[in-house]
Amino acid sequence: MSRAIRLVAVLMLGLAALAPPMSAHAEGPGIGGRRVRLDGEIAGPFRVRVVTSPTPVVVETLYLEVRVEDVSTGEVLTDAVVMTRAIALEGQGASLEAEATHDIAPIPTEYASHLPVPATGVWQIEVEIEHALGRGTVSFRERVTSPSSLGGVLSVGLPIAGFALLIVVFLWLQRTSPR
Amino acid sequence: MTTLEKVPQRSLYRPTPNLDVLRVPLLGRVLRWRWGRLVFQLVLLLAAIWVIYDGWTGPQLAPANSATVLAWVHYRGLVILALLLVGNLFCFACPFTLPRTLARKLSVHGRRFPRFLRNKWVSIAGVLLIFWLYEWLDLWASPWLTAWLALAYFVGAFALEAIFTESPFCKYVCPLGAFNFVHSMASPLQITARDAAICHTCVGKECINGSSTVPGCGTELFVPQIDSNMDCTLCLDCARACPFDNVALTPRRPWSELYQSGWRPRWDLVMLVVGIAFLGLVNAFGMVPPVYALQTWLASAWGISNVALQTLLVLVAGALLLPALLTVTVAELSRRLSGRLEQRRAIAAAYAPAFVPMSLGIWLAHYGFHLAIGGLSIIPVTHSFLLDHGIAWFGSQPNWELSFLLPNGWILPLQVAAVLGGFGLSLYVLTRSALRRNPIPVSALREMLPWALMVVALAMVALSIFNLPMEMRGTILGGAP
Repeated sequence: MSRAIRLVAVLMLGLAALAPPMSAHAEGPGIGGRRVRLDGEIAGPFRVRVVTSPTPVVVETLYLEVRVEDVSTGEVLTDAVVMTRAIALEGQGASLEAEATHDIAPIPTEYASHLPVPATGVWQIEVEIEHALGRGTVSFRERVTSPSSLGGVLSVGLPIAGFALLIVVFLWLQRTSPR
Repeated sequence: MTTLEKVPQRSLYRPTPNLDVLRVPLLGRVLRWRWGRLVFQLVLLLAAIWVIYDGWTGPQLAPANSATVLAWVHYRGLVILALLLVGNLFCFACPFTLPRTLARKLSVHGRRFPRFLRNKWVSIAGVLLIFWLYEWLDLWASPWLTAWLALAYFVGAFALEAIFTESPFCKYVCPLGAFNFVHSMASPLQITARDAAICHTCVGKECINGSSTVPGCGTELFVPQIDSNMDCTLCLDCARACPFDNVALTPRRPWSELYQSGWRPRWDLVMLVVGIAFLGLVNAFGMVPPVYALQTWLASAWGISNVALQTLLVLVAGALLLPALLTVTVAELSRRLSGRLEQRRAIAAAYAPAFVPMSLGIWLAHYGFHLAIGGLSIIPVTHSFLLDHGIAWFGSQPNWELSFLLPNGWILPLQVAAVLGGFGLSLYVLTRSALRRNPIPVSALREMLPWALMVVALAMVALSIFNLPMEMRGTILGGAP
């Protein structure tokens, strides 16, 4: 029996070891909740679609996916230069800029960039496209939030409190049950 | 070690039919009407056709396609809410069984599903297969593959209906059905006989054998002996076939079946329930960042870089081997602590139903999250679909801002409430089960202690996973939280 108890104890500890919340980092565009922010938006000679991820956007993790089409032919343009910017409209965050490239785009014909927005609040996101056909810019606003968390102590403590309550209930039942 | 003289016998749990949903004005008539189920099935059939059509022909961007949004956001969120609040409504309106009539006409009558497969092991394998494909092929990100999956369900149901006489797809194969069966055990509605004496004298047993116009129960449940929602698709064929109008759909205390109804000591049933609870954790774990660390570790430490193999290993280890090992170990521990000379599987069968509320809480926290974040996304997706087909009734620009059903700030508290609610109810069911088997509280506590620790561990892991940022796959998200 002692071996069985030890085995169970090891397994339980193994499970509990997973419990403390771990630091989280998004691994790239499209892995989190994608959100279509602009679709069919006209910017000069281009029709643009912009998708953000993850959702909700939290500090340090904003990915943009940009699809650029020639508005007159509908052809998807893969040889444009696409710059993305995040400008803080509230809060203290400094503005960021990054070029969107095909390298990290989940859809190879699109462009993607990572903007590690440093602070919560509303940010203006701008996408500027440059191509032989001309130039165009689109923009939208994005609210960046801080990650919400229950906290490691409560994640472990609440179930233990429930278990302790269960023991108390049984002890009370034992005391009050007819002998 | 002491031995108790008397082991509690398996009992039939049946709610008293004080209120019968089938007799509620209008609703009851619709439900009992011969074509009543068909109406609801046709609605879901249209949705399934839309999923398949848009998945094949629509934009291959998951958050902009109805196939991925309907299947992975709405279906999953609504099905778990329906199970919690009403019952097995999806199986009731399941479109996959619609070709049944045609299949039966084509079938070679008389062949039964092989006896060795008449258990839940095929369902368990089916559930694991679906989740493996989901993770490996990123079904959530592929409208095209999602459409093929929907079609595969139709083909599978049709083929099995055509080959065998009963409905083996629903009872023994369908992964969606297995998931629904497990959680419907905690649902507030159940089929029962209005008057058991009438069933006793009934000659035709039409509820199971069928009448001249209505088929009998596809999963072969005999109404007066139904003591669980397990295997009940809520098709209501029994109510339509009964010549005495003696079948009721009645409310009950949602958790009472879990501790009042004795299970046959079958490992397949035990593993289905416990495995689906663990699968809830594994599925949610697959959507939080540490899974990438695990994949990196598998590649660096073991040289396993193939994603299909990585996913399979995580799934089999977390949703099959770990729950199996824990269940057997905990059952042995429980047996020894109680001093009973009882089979491990008998003890496991007595306590496994207590994992249903915990499982329901985990899946509700997960699928409810997706529905809460992306529930309204179907509006711009539908709008976009109509525009793609030249229909501009609602303007020329979809409102991609629509997405959130609930404010972002509510979601984590609701997830925590779902997990803690399931956890509390699981402890309650464990307590009632233990006291039912052991009148002396301390003896009951000794027997249930290992099971309670297992539930505590599940709750801890679940809360920790839901603390992490979860990927919001396959949805459109527009409105600022």
